[in-house]
Amino acid sequence: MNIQTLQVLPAQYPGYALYYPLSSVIEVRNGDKVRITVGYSYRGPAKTLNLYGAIGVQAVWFDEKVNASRQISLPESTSWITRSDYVDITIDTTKISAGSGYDIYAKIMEGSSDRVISPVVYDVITVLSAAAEFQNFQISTWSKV
Amino acid sequence: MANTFILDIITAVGGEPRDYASAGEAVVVSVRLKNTGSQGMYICATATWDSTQLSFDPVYAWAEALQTIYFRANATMPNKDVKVTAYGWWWNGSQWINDSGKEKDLLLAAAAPQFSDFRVTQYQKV
Repeated sequence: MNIQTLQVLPAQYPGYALYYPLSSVIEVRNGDKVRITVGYSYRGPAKTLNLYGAIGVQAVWFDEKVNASRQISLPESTSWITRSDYVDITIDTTKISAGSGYDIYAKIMEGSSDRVISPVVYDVITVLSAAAEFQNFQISTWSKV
Repeated sequence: MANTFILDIITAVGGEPRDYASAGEAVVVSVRLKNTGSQGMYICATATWDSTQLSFDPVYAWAEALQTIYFRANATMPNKDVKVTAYGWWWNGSQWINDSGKEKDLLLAAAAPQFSDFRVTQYQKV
């Protein structure tokens, strides 16, 4: 059997998870910003919409800890155009506790309506504690002084 | 040698030339028809809007040698793409002779925004 065509379906359904090869973990602290960049194709009328990004934990639903949105302007286009946009999310440890295994996702909203939602990217954010931390604490020398 | 030549088919919405329109929008179709002959003659344009015949203003006109005349018609954009097929004619004194033609596609503008392949491509600390 020969494969004649390979169809790549739009990954835009909530709950539809996809693991990416880009899943390297980044470590952040309180006050840091995480930039989430999305890629997509668009066609339609000129629109000003909101790109929304969130960091949290995907369970039955996505439990958002911190999020942010940014206005984007899409040009009128009758044919598909490829675009890339980003949103910066500030880490606020009063809302997201220190720990690893946080997930991210993004979506485009028109008003309060979701227009398209990305697949969740899993286990990519580690939030470091603001408290003093020690590692490899041991006696290395001892002598008379 | 042909006596008419269609320089262009112009489709305009709201006075702006456009190659697309939304369903229900009024579209003005202009055919720029040139008398390519060496003497003045009556020329006219006809066109179909998909399968519908358009009515042009003027119906016909006198054109001096190498003069270009605009023939305009009104149409309404349906809920699909449209092909405009125009023909140029000249009057030989006893009948209309068709010796030019041109086509143009007018695309239906997507009314709602459409997205595909929306995904996180990168994330970084900034």
